[in-house]
Amino acid sequence: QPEFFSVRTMAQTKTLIRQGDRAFEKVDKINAELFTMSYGALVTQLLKDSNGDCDAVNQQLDSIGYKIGVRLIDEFIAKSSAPACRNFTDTAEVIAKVGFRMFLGVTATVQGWQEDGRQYSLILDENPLNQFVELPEKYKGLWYSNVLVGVVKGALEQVMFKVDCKFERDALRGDDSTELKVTLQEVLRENMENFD
Amino acid sequence: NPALNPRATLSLIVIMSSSSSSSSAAVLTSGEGDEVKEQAVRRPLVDIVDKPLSRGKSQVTLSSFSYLFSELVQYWQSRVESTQELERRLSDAGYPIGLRVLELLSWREKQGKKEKSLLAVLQFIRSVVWRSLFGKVADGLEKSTKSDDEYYIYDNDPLTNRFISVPKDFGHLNCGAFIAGVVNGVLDGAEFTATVTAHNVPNGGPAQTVFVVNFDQDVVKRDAAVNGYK
Repeated sequence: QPEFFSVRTMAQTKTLIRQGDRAFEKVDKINAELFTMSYGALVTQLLKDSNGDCDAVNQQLDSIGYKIGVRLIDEFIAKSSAPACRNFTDTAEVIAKVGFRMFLGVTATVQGWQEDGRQYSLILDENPLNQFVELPEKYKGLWYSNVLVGVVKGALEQVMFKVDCKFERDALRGDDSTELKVTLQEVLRENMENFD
Repeated sequence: NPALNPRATLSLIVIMSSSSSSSSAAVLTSGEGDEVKEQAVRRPLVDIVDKPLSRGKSQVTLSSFSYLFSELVQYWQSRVESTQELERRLSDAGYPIGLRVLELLSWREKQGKKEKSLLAVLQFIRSVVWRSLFGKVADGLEKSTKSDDEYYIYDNDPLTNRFISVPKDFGHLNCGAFIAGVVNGVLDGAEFTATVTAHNVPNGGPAQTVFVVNFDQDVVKRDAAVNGYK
């Protein structure tokens, strides 16, 4: 059954941007460079331990991100005043304008909607994870910020949207922008087993 | 420029040379249909060291760091046999950050000036480094009364320990080992080689951590000679 396709108006997006700014303002913050370098330390360690196996590291970053996403969603719901996402299509701008803003300090742009409303892309113009980073030739197969892919999957799964998420392009690889593609796989039903 | 026939399946490869050693290619493929599909247009890779240095004012949510750091700790936790080894892995992870922080801050905050004495480099760490990384200066800097190579840097609430609760069977684990590694990197990079470890302060506040810095003996001797101490 196709999702009800709600088209976000400019006003709705502006509201989300404001909510994102407010959420980011409220939370405690730290120097982004410490965060950037710590992430670099993680990726470097993963590459070392896997002997430069980019596919394995991509997978590991995905899993790590998933674990983070599953925890982060609670904080997101508690601290942002973003409305609950009734449809998959709602998730796009909420993640782009509130989610990313609240946790990374930057907003993303939503593009590339598929006609059936089951797929969209998040475009990042700025990515605090890859500041100061240069990807050497031998790691061309690495999606350096792949942790984000896992975070999106983990977080959305907790609000009942099982999605696939992956990088299509990365500025670190020389692409003209950084793009994450989010695809709905299924809407999960609440587990009602515990209700009598 | 060769003409493009949008209906033909013709691929055009344009090689752009860049200042870095690798060259990038833009691949333009004409599919069937009126649009020319652009696949993976690559810009020439700008050499990152040619980019201007950021001012270091950008911020990120604290909880993002704590989620990340928590995963870092868990990653090693499953790969080590002891608390000491876990602390060592954390410290090893912080070390290259220290080297980079030294370089970054030396350029940005000190116009490339090097510190010339032990005390000066410790002050640099206690104020400039701490403020840049943690938004505050370290809570204390003391010299040991027992030995001339030992100094203490105090932090009452290190970032790394805020969201980590250490279970009983992990004993004295102090995740500040990560910060100890950063300090170690800064000192070694500044040629004041030392070992740095993080410890819970026995009668201090719940989170208070002391970073114990032990300078190499030849560094101590050199410092005394250069700076005219007895």
